Amino acid sequence: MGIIEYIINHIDPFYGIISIAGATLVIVLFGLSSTPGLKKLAITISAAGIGLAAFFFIYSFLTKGIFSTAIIAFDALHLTEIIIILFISINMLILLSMSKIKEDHFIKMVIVFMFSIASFLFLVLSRNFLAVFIALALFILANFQLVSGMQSKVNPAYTIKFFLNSSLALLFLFLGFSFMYAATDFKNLQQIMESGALENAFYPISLVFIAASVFLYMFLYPMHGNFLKLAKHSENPVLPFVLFYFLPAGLILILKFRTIIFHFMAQGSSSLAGVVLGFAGLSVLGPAIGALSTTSLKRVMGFAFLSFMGLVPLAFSLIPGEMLNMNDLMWIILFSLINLVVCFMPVWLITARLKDTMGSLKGLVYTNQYVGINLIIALLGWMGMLGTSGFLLRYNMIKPFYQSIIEGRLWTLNPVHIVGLFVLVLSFLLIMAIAVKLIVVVVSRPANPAAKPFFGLAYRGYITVFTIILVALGILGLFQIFGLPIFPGFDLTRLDFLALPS
Amino acid sequence: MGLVIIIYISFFIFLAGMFSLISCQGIIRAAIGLQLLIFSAMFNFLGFSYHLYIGSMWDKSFLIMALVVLYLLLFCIFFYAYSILKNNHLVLLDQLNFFEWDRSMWWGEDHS
Repeated sequence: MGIIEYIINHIDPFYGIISIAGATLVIVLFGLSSTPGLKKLAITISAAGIGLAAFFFIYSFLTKGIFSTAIIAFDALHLTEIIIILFISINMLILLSMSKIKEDHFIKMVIVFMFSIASFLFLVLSRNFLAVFIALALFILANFQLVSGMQSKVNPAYTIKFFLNSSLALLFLFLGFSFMYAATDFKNLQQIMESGALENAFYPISLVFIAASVFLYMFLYPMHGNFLKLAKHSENPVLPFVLFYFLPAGLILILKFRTIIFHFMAQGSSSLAGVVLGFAGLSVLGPAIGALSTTSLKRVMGFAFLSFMGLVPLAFSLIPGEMLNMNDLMWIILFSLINLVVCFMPVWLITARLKDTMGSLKGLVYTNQYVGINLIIALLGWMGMLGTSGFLLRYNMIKPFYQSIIEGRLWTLNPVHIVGLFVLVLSFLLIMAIAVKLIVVVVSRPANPAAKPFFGLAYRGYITVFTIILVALGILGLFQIFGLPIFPGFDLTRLDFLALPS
Repeated sequence: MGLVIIIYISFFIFLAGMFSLISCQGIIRAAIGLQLLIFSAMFNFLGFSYHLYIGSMWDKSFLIMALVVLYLLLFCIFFYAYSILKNNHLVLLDQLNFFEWDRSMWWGEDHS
C-alpha cells in the first residue's frame, strides 16, 4: 500500500507518457504474432494505455496544477491539447483495428502507432527547442513507418513523396532554430519572451523559417500537391490518419510558438499583415475552388480539409491592428482542430464504404436513410449551419468585424482587415457551395434504388457519436451566444483559462 | 571569418539546396538538396556559436542530437525507397518532384 500511495502522491505528467510507453513495451512482448487473440489483446492494451494516460494527465493537473521542468511544461492549454489528441488517438486505434486487423503485421502497426502517440504527447509537453525538434522528428518517423505499413497495395512513391515533404518542413524548422539560437541563445520559449531579446535582427528571420516549416508541414496551398496525391491514392485508414492525426501536429506547433508569433505580428505593419493575408487567402480559396471542380470524394475531402486549415493563417493576418487578441487566436486554433475532427470524421466514415466518386453518394438518403441523414448533418457542419460546431467557428471569426459594424467603425479599419473580411466571407461561401453540392447529390434520386450500401449497426453508431458531438457543441455554443449558458462558469466561445502562460 | 561572411555562405548553401529541391528530377537530387539544407543549418549553428556565444555547449549538444534524429528519419525514408524500388526504376528514382505543376494539383481530377 505504501508503494501505491507513494506513486499516487507523485503522479505528474510524465506518468501519462510512461503509461503509453508501458503499453507499447507490453505489446512488443507479443512479438509480431498474427494470432487473432493476441491482436485483440494488443488493441485492448493500447486502449487501456491511452485511457490511463488521459487519467494521469487529468489527475496530475487537478492535484498539482501547472507543472514544469527544464524539458516539459504542463498547464491548462497542454491538458486541453492532450485530451483532444488522446480522443483522436482512440479513434485512430478503432479505425486501424477495423481496417487492418487481418494483416499479418497488424501488431507491428499498433506498436508503431503507440510510439507515435508517445512522441506526439512529448511534442505537446516540450518547452525546449531540442525537445520540440526531437519529438517532431520522431513523430514524423513513426507516422512514416505507420503509413508505409498501411499502404501495402498502393504505389509507395506517394508515401515517400509525402514524407519527404514533411522532412523538408523539419529541415526548415532546424534552420529556424539556428537563427533563433543566434538571436537569443536561450533554450525555451518562455525565456525568450521574458528576456526581451526579440529586438534582434535574427529573430524575424527565424520566425519566417518557422512559419515556412509549419506551412510545409500542414501542406497548405500551394504546397499541397504530395498530400493530395497521397489522399487520392490511399488505402483505408491512411487518409483519416493523415487528416486527423498527422496534420494537426502543425496546429500544435503553432500553439507552441503562439506567444512569439503573436508578439511579432502585433508589432508588425500593414505590409506584413498583407503578406500573411495573401498566403492565407491562397490557402483558403485555392483548395475550396479545387474541391468544387473534382468528383473524387477523397480529393473533395482533402481540398475541403486544406481550406478549413487555411482559416488559421487567416486568423493570424487579423492580429495587427488588434482585431484579434491572443485568447481569440488560441480559441480559433483549438476549435478548428475539434471542428475538423467532428465535421470530417463522419463524412470519411461514410465515404470510406463507398466508391471514390460522387455518383456513389447519389440518393444515399433514400437507400440508407440513417446514414444519409448523418451525412447531411455533417455537411451542414461544413457549411456552418446554425446549431453546428461549424457555425461557432465562423461566428468567432466574424465577431470582431461584427463588433466593428455595431460600433460604426468598419470603414475606418485597416484596408488589410477589410480585404480579410472579404476573403473570410468568400471562403465560407465556397465551402458552403461544396457542402450544398454534396447534399444535392445525396438527396437526389438514386440511379439504382435496389443497390443499398451496407453499414452495420455498430458502424452507424460510431458515425452517430460524431454527429451528436457536432450538434451538441453547436447547441452549447448557441446558448452561450444568446446569453443562456447551460454550464455556468464554462464559456465554450471563449475559454479564457487557456491564457495561462506555459 | 566574420559573422557576415558566415551568413552569406550559409545563405548560398541554402539557395543551392532549394534550387536542387525545386528542380529535382530524381531522388538523388532530392537527397543532395536536403543535405545542403542540413549543411546550411549546421553552418549557422557553428558560426553563431563561434562568433556570438563562445564557450556555449548547448548548440553542439543540440546539433548532435538533432542530426541523429534527422538522419535517422531521412535514412528510413531513403532506405524504404531504395528497398521497394531498386528492382523497378519507376517514377521515384527518375522523376521525383517536390513541387508539381500539373493541373490536377490545383483543381479537377487526378488521372494518375
